Amino acid sequence: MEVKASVHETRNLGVRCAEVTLTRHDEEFELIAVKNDFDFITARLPIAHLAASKSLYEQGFHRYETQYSLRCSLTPLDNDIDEDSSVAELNYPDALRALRQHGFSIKSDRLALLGTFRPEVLLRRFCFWLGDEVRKGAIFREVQRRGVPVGFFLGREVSGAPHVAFSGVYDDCFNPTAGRSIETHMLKWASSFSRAIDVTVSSNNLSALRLHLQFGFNIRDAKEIFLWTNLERNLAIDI
Amino acid sequence: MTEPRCARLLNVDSNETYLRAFASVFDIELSEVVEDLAYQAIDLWDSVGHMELMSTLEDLFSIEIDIDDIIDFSSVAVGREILRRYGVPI
Repeated sequence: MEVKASVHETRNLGVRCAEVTLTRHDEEFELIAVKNDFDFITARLPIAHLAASKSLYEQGFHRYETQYSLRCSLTPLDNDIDEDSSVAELNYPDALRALRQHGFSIKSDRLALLGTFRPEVLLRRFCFWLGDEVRKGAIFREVQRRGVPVGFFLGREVSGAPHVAFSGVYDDCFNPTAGRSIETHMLKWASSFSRAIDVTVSSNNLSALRLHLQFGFNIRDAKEIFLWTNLERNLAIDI
Repeated sequence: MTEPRCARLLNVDSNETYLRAFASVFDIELSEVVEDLAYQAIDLWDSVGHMELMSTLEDLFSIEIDIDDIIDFSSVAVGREILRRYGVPI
């Protein structure tokens, strides 16, 4: 079992956050000390680890999602694979502006499901998180169909491999092919310098999971995510 | 109008508190904090630095800046106008 303070999440949420990582070997463990030191704890464990799951439930944790690690082998894609769509690179303020203007639902986010943090705090967390990725070199690529913004993906190259921190369809987009356009451009970008791409998709976002599988992704691993907090539900937490 | 709590604690006026926030977050001299200092004009005023500045200003003036204002907060001068709308006397 590994326990570490989550510096970024503490900054993003304004409360003391920690991450606990459990392995198959962790069956009996005690988290009282961690719960004394932190307000919000995220625990990750292998799927179907019933002993650990039971122990977490008994210690006040609740399961919020399964995170699937997916991989897709890549081949160079034709430039004209989707003639109706295009990509525009937006800087950080313009990316925030686009997300604000078109809306981006984070309802499937486990913290939104938890209900402890106000939407404003979750939005602020997203801004920080987006900012972290941009500082590390990620580019916010907005996908447009016939000139109309439909969504985005946020990607950067890490040691020659593509890393996509986030992708999604804008809330005001009702084009049923938007997800496919975004996925196509994401794979096109990744295939320009890599032979494979790894992404993580939440079980809370079934449409995204289904889309990735349709595009040839395979499930490589899965982790259960449990949360614990000593904060009241819908507590007004200011950063 | 009541002077914000943190400004009183620092025993400086709100305007100086405002300017010192930039100097502190971006690790520059107070003299470098000029009205047209803008987003991305210096290395540390990047995407993360911007959010850190917002959090610092919120703490100093006991306010919560709306996300639209965070996006529009493009320079020292523009930020001053935004904070005035929150009742900060700068």
